[in-house]
Amino acid sequence: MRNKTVRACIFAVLAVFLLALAGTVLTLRRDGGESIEIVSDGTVVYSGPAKAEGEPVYVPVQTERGMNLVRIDAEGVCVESADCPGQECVSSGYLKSAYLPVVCLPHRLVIRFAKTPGEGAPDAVSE
Amino acid sequence: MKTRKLTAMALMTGAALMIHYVESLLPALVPVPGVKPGLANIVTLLALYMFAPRDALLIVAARLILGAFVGGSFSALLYAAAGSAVSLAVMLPLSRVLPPRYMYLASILGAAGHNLGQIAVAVAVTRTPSLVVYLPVLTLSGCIAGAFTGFCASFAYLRLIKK
Repeated sequence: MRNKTVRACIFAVLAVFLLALAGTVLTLRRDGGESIEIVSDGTVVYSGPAKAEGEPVYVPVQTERGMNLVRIDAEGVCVESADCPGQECVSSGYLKSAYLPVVCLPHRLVIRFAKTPGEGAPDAVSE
Repeated sequence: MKTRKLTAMALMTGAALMIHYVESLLPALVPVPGVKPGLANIVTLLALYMFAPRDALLIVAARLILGAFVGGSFSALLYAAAGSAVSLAVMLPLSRVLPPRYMYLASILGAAGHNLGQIAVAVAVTRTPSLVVYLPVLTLSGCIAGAFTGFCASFAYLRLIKK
């Protein structure tokens, strides 16, 4: 009985690990798009190009929970500074994957690539 | 409750709180929100193997609430509480059937449960279902961290406490 339980747990651990590994590889591989959205508390507060040539564009997002300063430059979009306790949004760096947004959980802020109008639609429709 | 047991539980809560605090001072290993070593789980595992389920639950609850005071972040309490609830729901039955040397198995599955609970709350709070994409990354890091804390807890239980 005990051996069976241990074996079942080992199989469960292996299954969880392999699924997580496959999911991680797929998530990190997907490149982003041309435009981004900044979502604060479920509402899109900014949308625009994912890169800015020349001078960086700064988007301050101030809510009752705190402040995040988002920077859009030639490399992409990232959180320049924030007054959240963990600073994980700042250390996340640039937004790279279409699947993996930059988030600030304490301030309920999400920065993600916007879906282009044609995304998910068929490439061509024949009559 | 006997004084000896009460003292042991208080000491374990204090140890978990100290580990939790020291861990919060360390720089993030990976720049992904929620990826943490979760070293306080060593104490949770030991509590599950040493005490009754209700006592282990008390230690975890005390650590979570006091941790929010010490860390000064009550928004993080919601995520930590949800993660710990799911993690305990997984580890509690496993701790009753798995021998102490297999603590790492309970720990890994508990860590995966912890991530599931955290992501569920993050999706609900931010109203962003796409945050589910964080689950594979968090689960992968949870497996590694869970194995480490599980081995540490198993070592502590078999070499230090059981003796």
